[in-house]
Amino acid sequence: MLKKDNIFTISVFIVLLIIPILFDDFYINNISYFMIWTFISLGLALIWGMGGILSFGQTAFFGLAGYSFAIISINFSDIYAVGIWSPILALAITAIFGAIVGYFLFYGGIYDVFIGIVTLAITLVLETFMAQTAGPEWTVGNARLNGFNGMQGMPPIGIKIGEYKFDLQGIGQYYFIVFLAMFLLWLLYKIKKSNFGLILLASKEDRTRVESLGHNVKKIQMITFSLSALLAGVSGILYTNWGGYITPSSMGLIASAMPVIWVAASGKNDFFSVFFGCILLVYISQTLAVNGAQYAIILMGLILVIVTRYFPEGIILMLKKLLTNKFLSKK
Amino acid sequence: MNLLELNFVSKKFGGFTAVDNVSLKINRGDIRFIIGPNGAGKSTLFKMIIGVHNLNSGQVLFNNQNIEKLSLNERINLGIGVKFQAPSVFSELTVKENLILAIKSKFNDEIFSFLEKFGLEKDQDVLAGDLSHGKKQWLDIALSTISRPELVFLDEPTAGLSFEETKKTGKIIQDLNGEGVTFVIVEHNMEILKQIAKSVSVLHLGKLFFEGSPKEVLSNKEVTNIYLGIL
Amino acid sequence: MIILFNLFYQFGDALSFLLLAAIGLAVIFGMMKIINLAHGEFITIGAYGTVVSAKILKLPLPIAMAVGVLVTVIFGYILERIIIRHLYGRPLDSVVATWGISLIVSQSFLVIFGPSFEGLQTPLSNFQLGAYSYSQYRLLLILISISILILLYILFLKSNFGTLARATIENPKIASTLGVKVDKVYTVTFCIGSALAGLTGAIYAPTMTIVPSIGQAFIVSAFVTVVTAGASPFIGLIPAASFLSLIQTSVTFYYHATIGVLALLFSVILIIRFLPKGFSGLLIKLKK
Ligand SMILES: Nc1ncnc2c1ncn2[C@@H]1O[C@H](COP(=O)(O)OP(=O)(O)O)[C@@H](O)[C@H]1O
Ligand SMILES: [Mg+2]
Repeated sequence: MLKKDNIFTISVFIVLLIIPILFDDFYINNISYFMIWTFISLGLALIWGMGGILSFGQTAFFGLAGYSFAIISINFSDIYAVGIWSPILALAITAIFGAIVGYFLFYGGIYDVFIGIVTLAITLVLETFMAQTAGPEWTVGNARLNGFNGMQGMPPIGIKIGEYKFDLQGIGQYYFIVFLAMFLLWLLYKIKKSNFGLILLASKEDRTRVESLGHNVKKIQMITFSLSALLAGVSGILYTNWGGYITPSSMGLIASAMPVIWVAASGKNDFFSVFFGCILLVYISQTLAVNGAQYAIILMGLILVIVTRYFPEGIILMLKKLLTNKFLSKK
Repeated sequence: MNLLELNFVSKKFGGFTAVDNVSLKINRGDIRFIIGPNGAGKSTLFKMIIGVHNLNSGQVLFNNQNIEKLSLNERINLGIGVKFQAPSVFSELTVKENLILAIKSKFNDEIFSFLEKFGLEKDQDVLAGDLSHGKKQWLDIALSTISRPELVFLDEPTAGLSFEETKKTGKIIQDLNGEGVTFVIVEHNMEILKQIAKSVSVLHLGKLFFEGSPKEVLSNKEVTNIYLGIL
Repeated sequence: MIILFNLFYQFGDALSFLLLAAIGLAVIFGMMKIINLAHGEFITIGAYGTVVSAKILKLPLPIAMAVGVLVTVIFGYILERIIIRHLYGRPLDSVVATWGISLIVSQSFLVIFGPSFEGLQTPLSNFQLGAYSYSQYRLLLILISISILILLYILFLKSNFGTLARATIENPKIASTLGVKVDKVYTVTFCIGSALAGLTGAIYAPTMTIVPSIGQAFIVSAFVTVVTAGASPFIGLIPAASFLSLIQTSVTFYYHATIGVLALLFSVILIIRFLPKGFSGLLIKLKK
């Protein structure tokens, strides 16, 4: 059954699927880049929009995944199929780290704004730590961490079977990201409609009441936090693969504000809005940054302030509802 | 055999003793009313039994098992249901979703029969936040009973209800009791007490003050006096 | 003796830095339950206000510092009026909004003043004790931070305004039925917090390189201290700052400054885990 809610999602994906027919590699690579950021945003929408838990430090998981991927694939570059299992291993590390942090937060009774501060502290710890690894003593196996300048030269995600070699680059990478995004959006909708999603939504209103119905809220929040870390990790790995580098500043104060801005401005309660809004906002930032990153950051800051003050629901979600009511609600 | 047994439980808030050495036994099949003036410690006693507050001293036995070390959700899963004093339904979920959350499965016949029992079948897709006060109370009671726990605590289930609504609530509780659910109910409303109570405990200043049948309690001079504020 | 003085100096220096970094944030968080993520930029404004008035307007340093504080207060006042006050009762949203403000301000300074700005000489002179040289100005800062704390203590715990403010925090509804102008109390509190942040920027301006990200040097220390202090910063601030500066001084002494910062961040994570209500929660519990 085709629900009217899905029309937007389906149209956007149709457009995304035919884009490569119309544009050249340069644009395709750029759009890939914009889409890479949607995963960290979807993760934040999951934990913040559905769970009511605002993490300021999703970039910690982004960076951890990117660095893990880089270190593993540099070290084992001649081992068979490293291009497939190194990103998977990096994701596993990230999800486990997310679960540990989540355990720490929720079983430790940390809530509300303190979660924001602790997660921010975690990402800043990682940034500060990675930034001081410039010296030659900071190597893991064959991989130099390289301090402030970050790591590069990691083999890409891909597979090599005999003579045949496929790297996740260019148009292949583009379609991979589109299909992954489709799959994850579908999965997130499923989660939202499931009992798990109900528990999460309800615990945003009244944690104790949900527990008094026999649900282990802490465990569910921990799992959700780990899932959101995993999604941030997907972005981190794809980013590292896309550009061939990862730097500590991807975990810094400004970088960690970005997902919060994209998600808030798009509409944290709706995954599609977050997906679409994130692409749009990264595109705008990118375009403005040509004249200097400061201007893009100022605009993003302005958007965040205006949205929180005047459109707390999020602009894309608001527009989507407006369009739905105008054109699609003639029953 | 006792379904629930409290042995000398106490709770202090700072220097103030809200519940003072209370011992209580609830039999299977009972509808026990706990009454007492505001501030007597009734809600606090509830919250100690289910694990929202931890005890300063004493023992809580459910089916002869010590439960005071368990967390709230673990105790609930042993077969306990609870409705807190303030009606707390999930206002951003629909009535149906509220019940799905409580029964821990997909929409089924059980949910439908509960919607009927509480007269909520027309409201199943309404957001719980948009319900009238009476219907919120009923939904709240439905949430605490739908998984058929052995023991259900209701904290002021008829507060703010009309005479008719109160009567209907009493009837529903009696029906469920007939199906084998044991109830412990905090109430100020003496009408519903007369209607359905099987036994009554009176709490005063954190202490257990009197125990007996509804008749004994209602005809006891001292109990009347503490309600009038004389003692 | 000299070693002892040296340790005292290092410790006092770190302590006053943490206290001054945190104090404005602590007032706003303690009274309004808002974490002002633009706190670092308030400090930046105070610092630039001071340096610009001293360098370009050629004002004497104390007056330039007063200008720095004033500019910050005006900025805080406007911000409270047009944004923050509309977000009371939505604590997460107010934190998010201040993050946006932080980005706007820090990047605007970069656009307007460029990546760095000619700084000021540290006033007063140095003196020698054994092998070490000490700055008199930094010793003065230790005194200033302690005096500010005493003044605040009097203002919030002993004065009329303090009683009103604490009543408002305790229960805004009841306070307003008793005739307290709740709006005003919040505005004044936010301005006091801004003034303190501006003051921190003003008095540290002569000791630092003036860059648009100068506030970021304080922000981490400020968060760490306030979070460690816990829900009632007035009680928890001094023990929290002392504890943290002890950690930072000793770790920096054995390793180096970056590791000192890492130790700081790490300890806040641990403290929140094991003392979720911070030092003030611990003290209140011990009192009982
Ligand atoms: N969380 C709490 N902290 C401090 N005091 C409390 C708390 N909960 C209840 N009290 C106090 O304990 C006493 C009993 O409260 P409660 O159990 O709610 O009474 P009842 O439900 O019988 O009206 C009251 O004096 C109340 O003020
Ligand atoms: Mg009560």
